[in-house]
Amino acid sequence: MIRCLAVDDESYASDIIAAFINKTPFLELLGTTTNAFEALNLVQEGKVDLVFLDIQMPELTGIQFLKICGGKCKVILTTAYPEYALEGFDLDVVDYLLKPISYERFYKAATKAQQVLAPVAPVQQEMIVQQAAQGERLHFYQRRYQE
Amino acid sequence: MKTIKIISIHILCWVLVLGYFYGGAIIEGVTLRQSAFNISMNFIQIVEFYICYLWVYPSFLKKSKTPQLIGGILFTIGIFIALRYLIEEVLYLKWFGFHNYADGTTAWHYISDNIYWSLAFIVVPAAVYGIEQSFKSEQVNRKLKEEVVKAELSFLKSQINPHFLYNTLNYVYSLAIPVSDQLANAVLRLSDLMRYTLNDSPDGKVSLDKEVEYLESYVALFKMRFEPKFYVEFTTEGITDQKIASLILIPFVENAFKHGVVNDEAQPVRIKLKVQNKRLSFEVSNKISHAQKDHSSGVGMVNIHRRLDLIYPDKHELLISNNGNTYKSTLILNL
Repeated sequence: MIRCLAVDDESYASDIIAAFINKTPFLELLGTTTNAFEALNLVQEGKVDLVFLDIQMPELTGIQFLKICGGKCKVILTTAYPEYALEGFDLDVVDYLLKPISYERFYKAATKAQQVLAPVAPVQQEMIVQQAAQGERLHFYQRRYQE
Repeated sequence: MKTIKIISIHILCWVLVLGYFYGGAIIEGVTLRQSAFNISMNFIQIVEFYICYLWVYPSFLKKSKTPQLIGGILFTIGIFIALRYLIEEVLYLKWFGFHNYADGTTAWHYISDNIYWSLAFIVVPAAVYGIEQSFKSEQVNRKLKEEVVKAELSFLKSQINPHFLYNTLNYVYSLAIPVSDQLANAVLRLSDLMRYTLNDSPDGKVSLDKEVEYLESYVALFKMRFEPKFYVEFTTEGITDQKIASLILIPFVENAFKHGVVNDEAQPVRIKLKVQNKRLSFEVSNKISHAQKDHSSGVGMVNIHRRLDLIYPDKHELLISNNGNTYKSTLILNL
């Protein structure tokens, strides 16, 4: 189980991420916080595997957070406006989510994180892909229109 | 410019040119014999001018058409010589009893002499044509620059701070999720649409599959509003990594939804996008509605024509068919 933290200075935004984490079987929600320093402490104590992090925060920008916690956890960045896309990837971010985030898109990023944190053998991989396909199909039909 | 105006300008120029040549003659006075050959020469020069100005240069003064250009010029010289011979040596002899060149003139001499005479009014139309073309392209450039400035201005005017916009939409989304899936989905679709239209790329082109995604979001939002009586068939074929000018396909879909019938299961709106060898065909057909709900100014189609002319000059074709019951627009683009 991947231990997750959702960090955003706007709490409704981290609430959305929290709901998505709870919906996803291989993710475990440790909590949400609007305080970047609190999150940093948890990461430094080695209690967190994956952080969903907003870039635009008043006390500490997402980029600064990345530089400080470097390596102790994996990060998925969330943002309303992608000005810092390249910079994020320089610092080895798992994925980049644009708000508002659909569950489909969130799931894709979560599976990417799963691959990064625990690379699996091909047989197991297929099982995960099938699981993912099942989960996605529900939401995929929302995108189809009458044929 | 209107045809009458162009013809008048041409006539005026010839009057001035000929007036210059004949000025002396008019002042001093000449015999029929002297002026006859001037008249025939000028007449043939005018004919020569227009052969070059209206046919040879517009058709062949382009890249990789040099052999045709040379052919055209030689043809013109040939016409000059033939006409001059016909008028001065045959017709004048018949009508007035005199002719121009001395009796013992060899064909070689006649031809080479007239090649010389023909050159002047082969060069002059080249200069006139060249100057006109450069004026035209300057005008086109100026218009393009104006369009760019206008587009930039309207873009800046419409620009909402994206941080504000998407964060607010995210807030609405957070309120929507516990309420209704449909509501949350509609907010997501709307955000996708806005993200697409507000994003600029330097050359105005986007990847084709992104444009298709945009169209799908647009159709999906309509479907949500008019469900369940909303019938649209959207098929695509041959999309790989092509690029297309952004937002150039949506006006056709918009029009179909505005003026068409979307709730007839037997005749759905059909949207077909097919790409083959860099050739894109985009077909939208709908049943025509006899009531109009959305009264807008029809600026969309004029705008589309302008954009197509600017971005795909000579590389597009727009076919509209309307048989009273079904309206079909087909856009063909060479990507």
